[in-house]
Amino acid sequence: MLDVLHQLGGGFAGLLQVGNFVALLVGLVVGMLVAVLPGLTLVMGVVLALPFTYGMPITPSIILLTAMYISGTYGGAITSILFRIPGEPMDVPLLWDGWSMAHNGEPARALGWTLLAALTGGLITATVMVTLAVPFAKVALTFDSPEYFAIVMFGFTSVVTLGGGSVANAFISLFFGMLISTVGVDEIYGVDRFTFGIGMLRDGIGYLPVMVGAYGLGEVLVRLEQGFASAPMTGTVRVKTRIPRLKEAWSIRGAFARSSVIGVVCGIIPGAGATIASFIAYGVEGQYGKRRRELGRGIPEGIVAPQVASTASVGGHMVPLLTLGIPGSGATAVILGAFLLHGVQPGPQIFDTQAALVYQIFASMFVAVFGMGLLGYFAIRPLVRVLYLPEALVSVFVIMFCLIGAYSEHNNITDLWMIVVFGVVGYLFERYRFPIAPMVLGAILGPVAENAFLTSMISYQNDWTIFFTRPVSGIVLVLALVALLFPLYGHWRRQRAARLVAAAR
Amino acid sequence: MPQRLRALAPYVVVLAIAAYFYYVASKFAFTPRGGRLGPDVWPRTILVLTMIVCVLRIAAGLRAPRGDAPADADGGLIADVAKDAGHASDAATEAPAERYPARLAIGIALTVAYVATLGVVGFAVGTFVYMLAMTVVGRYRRYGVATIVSLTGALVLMFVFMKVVYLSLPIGVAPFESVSLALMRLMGVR
Repeated sequence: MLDVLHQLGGGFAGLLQVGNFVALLVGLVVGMLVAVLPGLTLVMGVVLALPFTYGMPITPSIILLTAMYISGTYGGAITSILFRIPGEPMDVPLLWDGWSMAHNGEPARALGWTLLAALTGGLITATVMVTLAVPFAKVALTFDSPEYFAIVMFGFTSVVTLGGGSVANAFISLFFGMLISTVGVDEIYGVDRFTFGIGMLRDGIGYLPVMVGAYGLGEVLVRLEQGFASAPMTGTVRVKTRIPRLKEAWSIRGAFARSSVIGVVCGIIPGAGATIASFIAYGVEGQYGKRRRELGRGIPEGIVAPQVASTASVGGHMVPLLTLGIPGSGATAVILGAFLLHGVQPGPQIFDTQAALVYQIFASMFVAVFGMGLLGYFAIRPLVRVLYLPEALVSVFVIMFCLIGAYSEHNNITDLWMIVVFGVVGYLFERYRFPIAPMVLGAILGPVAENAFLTSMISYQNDWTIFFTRPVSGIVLVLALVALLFPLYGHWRRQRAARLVAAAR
Repeated sequence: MPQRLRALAPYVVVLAIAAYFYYVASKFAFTPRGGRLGPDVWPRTILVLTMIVCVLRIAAGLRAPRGDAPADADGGLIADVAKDAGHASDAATEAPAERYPARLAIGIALTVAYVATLGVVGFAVGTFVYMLAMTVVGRYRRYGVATIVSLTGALVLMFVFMKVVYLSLPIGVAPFESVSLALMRLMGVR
């Protein structure tokens, strides 16, 4: 532990370098702006920032993206509370109590609770990340290919079943993403797979064009078809924040504790993310909170639970990314991309090979949490002004960043075609209600799953039972199965409730 | 087309595409190596799973009573929480009041044209025209502002990515090349 604290101290010292500090500040501001703007999502923002990191050293690059990630989980809360416009899907639960409290004449109090919740979630997640990462990495060193395969499968089932909407559509989206990852020349046999004689497909399709196209251009195309008709702004613009007193906060410590645990756990599970964490935390508060009957009428617990959970999920996501090299969300996939572009492969060895970098990232998370709080408290007025920017103008810049981002990876115009293709695919997915997240996760983790599966088959003489007989992979696959059965249970529960209601009439 | 068939059409299309890709995967030419699985196994597994999901979905759709929602469409944790909180509509993706398919088609066509001509007209000229056109297609009616923003945007992006990020953006061919080179000289980009 002392060694960890010593290294963390070194990380804080490293943050004093001008480049790192500027990257942190820029990341915080841009992350908040992206989260505030309804047409832009947090993942899109991180994706669009990626090309700027190509010319930067690795440490400020990762600090920039993680700062965006953490402040992005907070910025959208402001517009949810003040204008009833959720900046991100994770901010939807804040409409119910946050906006209600503001609507009841206490917007400053609502903003104060959100700020305190984001600070608490951020500090807890940063602490958990520092505490868990090293032991997690030590355990990960014992993992073999069956364990990696099982973890990826767990991620796949989580993203399919937890996301909401049609499970069939989520599965199709996931399989499409996995299939995309098989395109190109096979590494073992040297065989062309699904290249159809097109030269540019022989190198395969990276997950970044898939993400940039589907999340960036695809979303703009959806909004363009809707005529960039943003929701009308309602409510007052009395942007002032009143931080709750310690006594007030202590009285709802249960909500803080429950939501922190939910956030961190949802973060660690690949596929579940800030949105899932936010909704689960709100749901748990509705089931077990002391004032569950008052939830939805503008009580602090309804603001604290989703906000703590969504911010707390960030550190949880960073743990599998750093220790296993497995990104569990869109934003961490982009951060993984930044690592790889700078020639660093995250995984259990990273604590030996790149310890200084890792601890600077950890230190930046702590500083980012306080920076986010300060920014939220003092710069809230100019932040909400960006809502008045015409969406058509913002969107055209989003497209430009998507295209330049794709071009800059190889300085090749043909890469832009990938963006256009996946932009249209992203639009079609949105239009026909196929979720995009499973496709992206399939494209990211598909190669990991295939390699782990084939390596296991080679190592264990094509004995597929190995995935179930090894303790860790067996347990994780059982968890994956539970995640898979979860929607069936939900469906059965809803049908049973409907039958009971019908019988009572 | 009856509503039920329209709802099932995407799954029929995906099923047909998956079947075709399965056929393609079964034709991968490789020499098996002792005891090792071939490069076709993984994609074929994915495609079989895709086809199973489509068949199940189509069967469920055909069996469902007329007018019912798809069996799993209302599920999901997010929808459950929203429903329990009494705000189901907040978590649902509601259909927009108006759609502009023509604008969408023009937007896609403009993007395709931009990518196709970027190497010829260069970044500065192509980006200015594209940004302006997309802004107008996006129903922004203050043309003067749109022109200024597009021009400034194209130049700022060019400066940032060429001068700060050291990215080699396309400069086009004559006569557009001379415009790009003149702008680069003005910006101090070598």
